[in-house]
Amino acid sequence: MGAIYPYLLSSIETDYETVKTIKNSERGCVSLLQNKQNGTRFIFRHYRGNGEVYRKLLGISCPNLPQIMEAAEQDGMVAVLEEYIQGDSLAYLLEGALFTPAEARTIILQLCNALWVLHQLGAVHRDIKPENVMIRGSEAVLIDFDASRIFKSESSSDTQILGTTGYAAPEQYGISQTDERADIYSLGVLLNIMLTGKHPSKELANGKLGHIVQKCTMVNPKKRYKSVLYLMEAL
Amino acid sequence: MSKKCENCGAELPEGASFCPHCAQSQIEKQEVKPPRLWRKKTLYGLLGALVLIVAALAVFLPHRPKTFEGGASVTYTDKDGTYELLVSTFSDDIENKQPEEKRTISFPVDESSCLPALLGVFQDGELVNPESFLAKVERCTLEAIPNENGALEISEPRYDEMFAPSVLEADVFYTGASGTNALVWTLTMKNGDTIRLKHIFEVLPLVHQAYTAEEACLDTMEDLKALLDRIDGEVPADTVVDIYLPPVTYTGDLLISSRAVNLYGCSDGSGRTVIEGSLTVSTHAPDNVKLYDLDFVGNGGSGLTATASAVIWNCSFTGYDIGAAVKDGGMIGVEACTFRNNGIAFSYDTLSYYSFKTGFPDCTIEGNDIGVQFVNLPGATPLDFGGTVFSGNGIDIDNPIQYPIDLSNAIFE
Repeated sequence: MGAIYPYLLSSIETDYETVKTIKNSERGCVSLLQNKQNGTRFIFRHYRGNGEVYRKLLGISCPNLPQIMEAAEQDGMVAVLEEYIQGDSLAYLLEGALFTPAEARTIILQLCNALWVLHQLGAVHRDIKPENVMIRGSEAVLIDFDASRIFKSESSSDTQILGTTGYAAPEQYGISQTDERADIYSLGVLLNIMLTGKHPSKELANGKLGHIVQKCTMVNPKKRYKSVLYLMEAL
Repeated sequence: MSKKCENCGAELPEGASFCPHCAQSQIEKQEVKPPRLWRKKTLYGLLGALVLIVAALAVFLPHRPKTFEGGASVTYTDKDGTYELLVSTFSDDIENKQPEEKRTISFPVDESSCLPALLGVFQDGELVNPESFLAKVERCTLEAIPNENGALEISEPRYDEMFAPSVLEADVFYTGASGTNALVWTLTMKNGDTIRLKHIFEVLPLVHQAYTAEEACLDTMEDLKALLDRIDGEVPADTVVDIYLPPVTYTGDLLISSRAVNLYGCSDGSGRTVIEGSLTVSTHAPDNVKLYDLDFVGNGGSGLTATASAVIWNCSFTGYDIGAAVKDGGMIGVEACTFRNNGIAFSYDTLSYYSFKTGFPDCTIEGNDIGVQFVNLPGATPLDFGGTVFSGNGIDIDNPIQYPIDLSNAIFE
């Protein structure tokens, strides 16, 4: 593992060129790279944190998750090379118009697929928001697992406050250990935003989907859907 | 430790999942999908469908046409109540609510006869009014299903007041070769229900064996008794024995009790066979006792006493206190007989019911104190005296029990 990290960084320097820098923060940066030899594009994430989720995704293929090509760690730094998802982000699409209930339902179901894989690996995404959902053709792809972590039932609370304000579940702010139900909370918010453009606390979607949003976003995690499978069932 | 890229051969560190040079993955990725759920919605849907099916059945089942299968009896329930249906070949059985599972008769192979198949219906222990029950019946069939070779002919079931209180009657025509048949009644009700009853009708073929004066000594009553004893020892019980008697006079009393035999008097014109004495018939196994062309001559007493069934044809009875007497357990079929100068020519004094009585056709009843006396005779089938001549009797017919008789074709001189 230790050998892969410097090798990956070295190869990226020699074999790739940076197309653009997508995000640059104190924790690290995300950039779009292109293989000089064959022009294939990849997302390169280099940040300080935990790369366990990416490592677990190395051997996994899911149409609603980007393929992780390589993941390496050294001294608290994580380097990840992942499939570049060609498409528009949900955030971009939401700028144009809201989604119909049928479209929103389809997208949330696809995100449930992605989250089911993550949750099966014992991971919580913890940063579900329109910017982290790419629409590739007819498939929604959940990206950016930088905030995700492997949840451990014995932990009393998360060690860091992560996630995006508004989408993050209350427990992500340190009230209790986050588990997969934190992602369900975020999915509920996302669903409401897709339908109304607003946070459910401001305006709840109508009808059955509104009820689903309500159950997803209960403050008490125990009152939410127990897993994404239950949410899929409700949808 | 290092390895080479499977695609471009570039040197890669051990554990590398990807070759950055050629941008090819070095590991096989496993596609994963969430399991297909038995979603609650689906389960609710199925549950809902199940509830609907159960509800539909609850509504539909009480009205669904049902089939009621029975043997000789069956319980049938419709919106008006519960009925007990039963079948038999005896009117008595119908009246007494006794289903007849099986009827066995022995009958000569070369002869044919008929008996009624009857269906009776009870409600609350009482016989129903046939008309009201038949109003519920769309159609009824009676089918004979043979178990072996042979067959029956059956008329279409119908209501016949002669067989009242039976609701339906069908004539079953059989021969001794009809074998064993299941008589299957199928009633299709107007509400769609089907009622099926079944009883077994078995005909055992009777084989005849004849004895004549050429084969056996038949000169005296003692000879005749000796022959009967011999027959008991050598002839199977289910064989009908026909004894052809010569034109002689047999003096003494004769009892036919161990097996039925048919006695044929002389009819070739060379003379008559005479019995001076009395004859008692107390068995009709394997068939009725048939007496043909015999002249009974007495000096008091009874000429013929029957406690089993017998048939007399072209016989005469003269000089007895009672010419012929039907006693308990017996019946005498009479045709073309003469009763002359007796105290009572013919007496019915039986409490045993016989559904079929042949009547009293073409007889001569002459010079008796009483012609025909009815002391006891159960049943309601009218006796037909068609062609019978009453002449010179003190009382032609003594019928204090008012048994139904048909004298419309009788002749009184």
